[in-house]
Amino acid sequence: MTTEPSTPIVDKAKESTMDVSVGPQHPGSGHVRLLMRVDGDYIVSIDPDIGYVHRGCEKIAEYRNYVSNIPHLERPCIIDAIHLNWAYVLPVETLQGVNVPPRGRYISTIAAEMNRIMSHLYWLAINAGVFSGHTTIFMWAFGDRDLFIELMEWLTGARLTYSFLPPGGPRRDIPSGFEEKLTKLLNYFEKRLIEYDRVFFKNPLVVARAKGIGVLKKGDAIRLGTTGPVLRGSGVEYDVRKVEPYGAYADLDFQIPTFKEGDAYARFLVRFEEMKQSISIIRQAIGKMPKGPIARKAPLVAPEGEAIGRVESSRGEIAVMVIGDNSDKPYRVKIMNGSFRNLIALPYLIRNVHVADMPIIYGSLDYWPVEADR
Amino acid sequence: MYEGIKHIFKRTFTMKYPYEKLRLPTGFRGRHLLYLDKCTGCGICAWICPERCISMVPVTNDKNYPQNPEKRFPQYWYARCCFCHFCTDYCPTGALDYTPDYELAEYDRELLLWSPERLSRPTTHVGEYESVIHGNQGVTYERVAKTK
Repeated sequence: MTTEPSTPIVDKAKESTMDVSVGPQHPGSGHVRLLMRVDGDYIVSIDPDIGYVHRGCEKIAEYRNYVSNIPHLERPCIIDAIHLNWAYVLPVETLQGVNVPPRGRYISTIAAEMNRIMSHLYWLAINAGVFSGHTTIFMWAFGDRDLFIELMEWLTGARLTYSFLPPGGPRRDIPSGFEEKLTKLLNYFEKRLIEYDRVFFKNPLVVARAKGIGVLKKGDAIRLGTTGPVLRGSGVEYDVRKVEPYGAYADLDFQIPTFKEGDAYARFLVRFEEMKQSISIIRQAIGKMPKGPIARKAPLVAPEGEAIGRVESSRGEIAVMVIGDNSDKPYRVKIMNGSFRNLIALPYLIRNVHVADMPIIYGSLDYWPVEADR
Repeated sequence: MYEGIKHIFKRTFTMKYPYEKLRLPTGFRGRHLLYLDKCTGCGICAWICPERCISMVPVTNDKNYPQNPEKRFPQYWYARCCFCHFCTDYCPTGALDYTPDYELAEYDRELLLWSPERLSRPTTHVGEYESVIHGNQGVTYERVAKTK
């Protein structure tokens, strides 16, 4: 018996079509292979081949104790580490019956929103800037992201892999002088966003390349189960921060940016507007920050039972289920994340489009291969 | 065109790294610092370590440590360490501390194994530069007073 090859083979295709493999060593695609079937300059179909960076995080988590799990469970998406960390810690705190004090929740919220800005700046630099051939925005977004990284380094002690939220509350209080510097940076960054808008989002070349391509209709977005900016770019007002508030989001006032168009440009704009909302959230959180303890002592053991924590990360909803079995290690950890759920839209979006449109549509999904493979 | 001309007059953002180093905040999670006179050798650091890079080893020197009669101290295998510093946070006696040393590359793999005596050496990082936001003129890294 011969083994069936896993990749599409020419005999199934028409004579005029050709199979092209993008990745997994392509600088743009990341650790994913996109199998394109092209007919001239048009893409007939695309088949994402994932799993190149599967590291078995969920299985490793069964062999480490609840605190030791944090560093490696945030590794799948290091540019969005706080959200993965928080999504894991929320169910653990529910199991242990620990309530984080209000000040701790505010500090976590500030860190999470800074992380959201940094993650969106990374997306703006690579997945929007480089993929559309816009070198200026790549340099600008990366330069401004570094200022946020420096502040996170001051707050948490690390540049990207923070491990900032163990069960019970954040590890450190806000250092003295941090709020002033953060306010100064937000004022600067708000002005920079106007420049971004003028140079990139209103740039005729970017508009011409991104507008009207990769349209995901509202019904399809819900049917496919997409989350996060992809879902909101199709006109669905859904955000875990509003639907099921965690942290300090219940006390803070913010909007959910949505766009009806559902094309790649709408998804670009959702992320751009989210950065503005994040600035407003951080400012409110600094103003309303209560005094008091930042963390409570959490036990190192979790009782029997299961709990789910949901967090709105930069790439969509992250839900983590933790099953405890009365020991210091979880019985099972299951991670469901935005990257994996949004990837299912890719074969629907990249169909009968030009080859040159593929990077824009792929970039507009903000797919992070390591997070999806876990 | 206008944007291009405007940005000619902005200052440069970059820094000449090996010659100019960033001033790192207190609590930066770099290499660990071990206070031999505080460590009791309880091994909580080795238990909490996610990467299993800490092993408790006996120290062979002439000194006496009354709080640690067996003279067992943590030894770090820096090829594995992920610098989460949970060992420092969970240390009950405060025997571990943060240092801003991050240049830990070695030519020999064996040298990445840091003995307790080597961990107790003080920090060597000297950072003199800090980012300053100039409003419309951009951001620069500027020299500040020497701090360790």
